[in-house]
Amino acid sequence: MKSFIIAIICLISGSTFAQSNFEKSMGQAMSLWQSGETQKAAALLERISQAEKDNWIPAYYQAMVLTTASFSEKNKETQAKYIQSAEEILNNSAQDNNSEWLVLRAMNQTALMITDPMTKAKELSPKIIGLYKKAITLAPNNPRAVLGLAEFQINAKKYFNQDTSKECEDVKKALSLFSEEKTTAPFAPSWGKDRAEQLIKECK
Amino acid sequence: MKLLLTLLFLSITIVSAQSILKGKVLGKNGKPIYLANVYIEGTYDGGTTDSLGNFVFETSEQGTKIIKASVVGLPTYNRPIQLPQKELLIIQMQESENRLQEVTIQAGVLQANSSGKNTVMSPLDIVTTAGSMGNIISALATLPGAQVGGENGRLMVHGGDASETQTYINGIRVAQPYTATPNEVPVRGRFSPMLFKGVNFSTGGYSAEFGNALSSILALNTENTIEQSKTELSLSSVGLGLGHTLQWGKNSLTFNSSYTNLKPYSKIITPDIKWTKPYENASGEMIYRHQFKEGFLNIYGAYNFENMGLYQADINYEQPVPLKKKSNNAYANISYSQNLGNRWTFQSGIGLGYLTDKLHYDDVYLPNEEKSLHLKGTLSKIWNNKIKSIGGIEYFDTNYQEEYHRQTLGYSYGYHSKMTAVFTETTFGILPNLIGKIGLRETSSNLQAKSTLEPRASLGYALNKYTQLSLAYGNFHQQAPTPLLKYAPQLDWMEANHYIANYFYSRGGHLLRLEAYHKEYNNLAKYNSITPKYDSQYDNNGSGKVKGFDLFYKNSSTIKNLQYWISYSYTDSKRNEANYPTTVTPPYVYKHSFYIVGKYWLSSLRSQLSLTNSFVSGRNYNDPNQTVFMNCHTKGYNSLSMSWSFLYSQQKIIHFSVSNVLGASPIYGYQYADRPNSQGIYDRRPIVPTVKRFVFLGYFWTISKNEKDNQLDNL
Repeated sequence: MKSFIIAIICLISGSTFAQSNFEKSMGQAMSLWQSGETQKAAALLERISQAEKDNWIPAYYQAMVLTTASFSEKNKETQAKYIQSAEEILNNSAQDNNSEWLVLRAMNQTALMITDPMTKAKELSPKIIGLYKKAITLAPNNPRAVLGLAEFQINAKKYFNQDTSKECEDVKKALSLFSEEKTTAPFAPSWGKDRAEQLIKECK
Repeated sequence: MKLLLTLLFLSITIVSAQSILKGKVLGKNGKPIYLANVYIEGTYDGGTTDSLGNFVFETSEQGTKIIKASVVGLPTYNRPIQLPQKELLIIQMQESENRLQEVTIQAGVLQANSSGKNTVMSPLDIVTTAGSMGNIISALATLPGAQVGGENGRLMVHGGDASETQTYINGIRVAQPYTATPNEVPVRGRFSPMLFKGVNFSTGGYSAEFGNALSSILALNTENTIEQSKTELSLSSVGLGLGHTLQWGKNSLTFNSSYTNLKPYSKIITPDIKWTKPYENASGEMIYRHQFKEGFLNIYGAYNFENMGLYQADINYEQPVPLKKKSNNAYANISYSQNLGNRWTFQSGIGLGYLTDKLHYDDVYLPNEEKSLHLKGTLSKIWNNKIKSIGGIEYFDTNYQEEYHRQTLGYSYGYHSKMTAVFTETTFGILPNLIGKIGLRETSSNLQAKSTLEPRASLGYALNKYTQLSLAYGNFHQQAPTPLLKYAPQLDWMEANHYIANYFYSRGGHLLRLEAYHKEYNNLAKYNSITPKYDSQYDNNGSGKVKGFDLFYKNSSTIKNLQYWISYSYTDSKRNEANYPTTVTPPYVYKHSFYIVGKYWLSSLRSQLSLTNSFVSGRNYNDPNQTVFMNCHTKGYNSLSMSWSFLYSQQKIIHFSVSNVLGASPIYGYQYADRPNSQGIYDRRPIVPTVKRFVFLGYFWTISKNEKDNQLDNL
């Protein structure tokens, strides 16, 4: 009986220990990222990801950190490395039906496209739109998928001086989805509301 | 109480088990690596190295564990260690071991692919090069080592004539790659450039996988992906086009049809041709693709009908000669590739070509028919990171028959060639920065008595990440070209040996490529009449030597939105072939050719402006009034072409292009009379372009689901 209790306690403390370790480390990674320590944040997320094989969230953030870092990177070679490393992580086919994952894939391909739009836009823009559309089909209430597609199309249409009112409606829809959104898992993606608010201002 | 004690005990063991792991991560050259990620596999315990390569972290793990270190761009390091570890841990990162990916052999290779670090242009570059008019061959002319004859539009490589280049699609030969045109009107490639994801153009020393070409191989590869559904419409000053793609599941089916008629165009801009039936071309293409789990099937079929009639100037006739030509061409190309697992790949294909040409020239009627078949099977295997091999077997059947009718006179002639070839080639990494390739090809044919054995070898050496040196050698054989072989099927193999040295530098938007070569020809076909005829004497006593160098520089980064390239080729060709009495520079060779191509994306106007300037030096011609053979030279000429593409919306494009803007009037050469006139002088007629300028205006509209596709590819 006694050993049984000890075992139970060990089990609980063990699992709570792991839980808090995940949350503590994820928190640490987020603050590294916020303070601009991109590579350190990505490294920590890689460690969490390989320790938590069944959880897609650390890998998601690792790819996110690398992809967003590429936007501001001036050195072309480093930029290409960031995009490629993120792409390799995102290629994981187990996540083919994860709407959030597909949104990030679309962002990654957008990062790749804007490195050389003259030669890459033709091939990549249908692919990017396809990824967003699939993300919306999988989860119609995912505000990031709705927002991502609308933003991508607004950018293209602005270039051609075309009417963007349809896309602006989609941004509005994304905004209402954001307010209804309830995050379930710890650290599940919840970003994007600020971006939507910014875009809706530009729509008017 | 006991429980509390136990818990206390447990937490003590946890605390006491923490040990500190310290170490250093070094690169292969011994230099410390910054920001390497070091950790114990399967745990959170780890750290990132500082600028001196040092890492330090705490771990509670004990016993044998795997330590890992990862750095972007290098293979992940891992090895078992004993914990706790008191000593300083030194981690030596290894360079990627895939030698075959890091060094490539550049000698004789020009690639136009959408990705890849060794590519000199993208397929899009081909269609947006001013003056190319969407013709693959014209765009390739702006690359080093290639020349296109202004009067015939055919591709010539490194001092070889147009028949020395063979065209392949997905490894399968295209027997009739050019459209039919009357004499002195430039031909076009039959294929739309955007069908292909990659264009590999060899300037010599090419792979043992290919043969029966003395100079060069043009290998076109289609995309191995399923296309999205879309409809494409085009309307231009010379015709109409309609295309539709249907995609379902792992299948896609594309139909393209186009109709070209120069009649309305020649009403506005009068060409130097007296058409009786302005050039008319109707063509249809069909592509079916199917993605299997481990394989890919690509079926391509094309049909082409051409019809024209005109008065052709000919110095041997008082009046321009009435000419009529009708031509039908059908081509099918089926290729299948299958991944057999364990890094074995099987590829096979069938190519079928059928061409009939019906030519009326004055009172001569000259119908011909060519049937061709190509069967091929290859197996390739990647043995490890250092060695890969390819081997295969192929069969070519070419049956060419022609008839000559004049009044009551009539006879027929032709050839039927059955050729079998086997080949093998192995690429191996000798050192991390040195690779070698050795290949062997054996070919036998029913027309030639002996089979040929052709060794090919090349070396690639990477000086650093950006610079590569390579050398290539190859032995090549080819049957005599059709205009000779049809009268003399017994002609023997002609032979060429290539020696090529290449320097290739590519870094951040700059690309520099230098190539020098030497080529030796033996057994070139010869005849003893003014033009090859039914009753001429034929032999293989010709020979030749070509030496030269090419320079290519491309810049796509110095000025935003501007891309330009400069290409210069020097060709010194001396040959004794055809009906030459001595060794001379042949009339088709330009000694110097110089191209500048510029493309500018004007964002505010959503337009791409493109400019191509070409300069070629004069060529030799023979004046029978002179005592010395081939002693005269034409003048060099300059030609400037411009194009403007305007993206009206994502799916609507307007394209406008003009060739030879400045209206240069080159003389390509002269046609001399077969017999002297009453004063004993051979009369002559200059060969000049039939149109000074070509103006093209087109409107392209794409309707697709993704609303993003457009037809920049069809321009």
